[in-house]
Amino acid sequence: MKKKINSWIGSLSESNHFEFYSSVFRIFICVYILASLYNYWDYFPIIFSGKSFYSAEPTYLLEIFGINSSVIRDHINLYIFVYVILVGLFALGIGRHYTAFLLFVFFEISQRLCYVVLNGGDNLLKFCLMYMIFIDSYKYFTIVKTNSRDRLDNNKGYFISNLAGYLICIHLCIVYFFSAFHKIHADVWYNGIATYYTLSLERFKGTPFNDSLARNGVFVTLSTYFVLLLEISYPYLIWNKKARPFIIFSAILMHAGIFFFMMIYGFQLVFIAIQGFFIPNQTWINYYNKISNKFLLFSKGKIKYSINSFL
Amino acid sequence: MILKKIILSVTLFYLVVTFYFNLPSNYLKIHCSGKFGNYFNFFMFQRWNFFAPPPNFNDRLYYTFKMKSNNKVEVYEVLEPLSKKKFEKVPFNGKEGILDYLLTNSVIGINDELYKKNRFNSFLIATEKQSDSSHKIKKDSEILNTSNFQTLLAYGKLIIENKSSNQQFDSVQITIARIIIPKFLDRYKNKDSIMKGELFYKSGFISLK
Repeated sequence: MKKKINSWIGSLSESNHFEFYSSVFRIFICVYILASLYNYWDYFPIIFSGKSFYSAEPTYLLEIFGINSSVIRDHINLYIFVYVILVGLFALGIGRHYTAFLLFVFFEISQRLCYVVLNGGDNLLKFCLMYMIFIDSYKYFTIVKTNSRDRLDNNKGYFISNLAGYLICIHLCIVYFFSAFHKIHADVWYNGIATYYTLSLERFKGTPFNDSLARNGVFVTLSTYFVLLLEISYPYLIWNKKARPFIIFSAILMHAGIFFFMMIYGFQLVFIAIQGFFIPNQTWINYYNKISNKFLLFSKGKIKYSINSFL
Repeated sequence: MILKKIILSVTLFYLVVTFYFNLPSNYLKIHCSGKFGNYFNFFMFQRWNFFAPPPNFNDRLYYTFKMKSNNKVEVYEVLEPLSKKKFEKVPFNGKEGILDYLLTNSVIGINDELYKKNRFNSFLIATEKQSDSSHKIKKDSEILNTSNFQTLLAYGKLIIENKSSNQQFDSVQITIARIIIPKFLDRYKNKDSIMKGELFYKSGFISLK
């Protein structure tokens, strides 16, 4: 046991297991936050100002530090401006772990300013952002070149970074586990008719086909048990190398289904994006090299073609 | 190596605690959580019971505006048109989505409040500590003061401002109802013949001034 733990610690300290995908995820978080802010744009006065029909409550978090939440609400434009700057800095990899920490604080405060508009994706993203503080996600897509002193290129740094990366994976497993745990308890899931109800909810009716699919007994039974079995098995099978591609594909299929049929967009994108952490770093790098080589060849060809046509 | 083992132990402890506080309310959780549970839920709140179970109804939120002088009444339902608008604007319906979350989650909040209070009230009535009617009055005033109700009330003011600028309504009544989704077995039956509504909450008339 002691040997196993030591060798596991050793493997976590050798290299960054999430070197490529954590960089992609960093960009995803930034795009997600900016897209959410864009969606909120017209509703800023309503959800953040505290002077609208939304009856705002204190964040309680700021109050712990002696700051009244209304201070933020009164200066919401300035707050959002700083927030957007932090998103930009994080996307470009400037300030690294410090920026990640500040962004997490801002993300948390803005969630507490109007918690009623949040969904499960926002909830999970908060934890991911917390883990991202410790992940070295600055090898790719940054403008500031890294030097060995800057980066966590020592084995302690790798160890912390990898541990935080695995925490994202484990947290996703916890989410699926408890989602399945609650579903088993509900009769409609147990009896295979739950998707009839989810597809019949007016506020989540995303396509004109929802009603006819809800009436189709075969579809309802298969889709209900598909979701249930996937959520039950995900936390175990995702760690099995052979089953992993199938499980990831199934999870993406499930979330894409919810995305299109129930119009729950951001939520599903977060869950789909996290699946990438289960794909080995080397696989990502190989894909990335292939795509970047193709892109280079394409752009070289284009330049050659345009020079020839010019001559 | 020692530092790494300490970090690993802290991480494992964090995971165990996260797992523990995600469990449904059981004997151990109720008796052993104490204040630590409150702190954990405050900083690390998470709820993963997505659609378990899914609601078997669609919400309806009615605003009844009343004019004192001539007893004129106007009624608006807001959630059904909002769902339709959300559907029409797919996939660029983020803004309608936010309004939907604000209103529906306020309705759900009132629903939860009533559920908690009803459970507590039936306990008190059962133990003969208070009468049924005194509880009803207390319950209503408690609901009116919640931020969820205040949000719905303020939205009602917004509706009337936008819809009848030249008519002066004095008061509004908020009604929350549910349209029950037909059972799976009845899915092919004519919707109108089996549709069932359920009144969930009705406030008194509240002044708009």
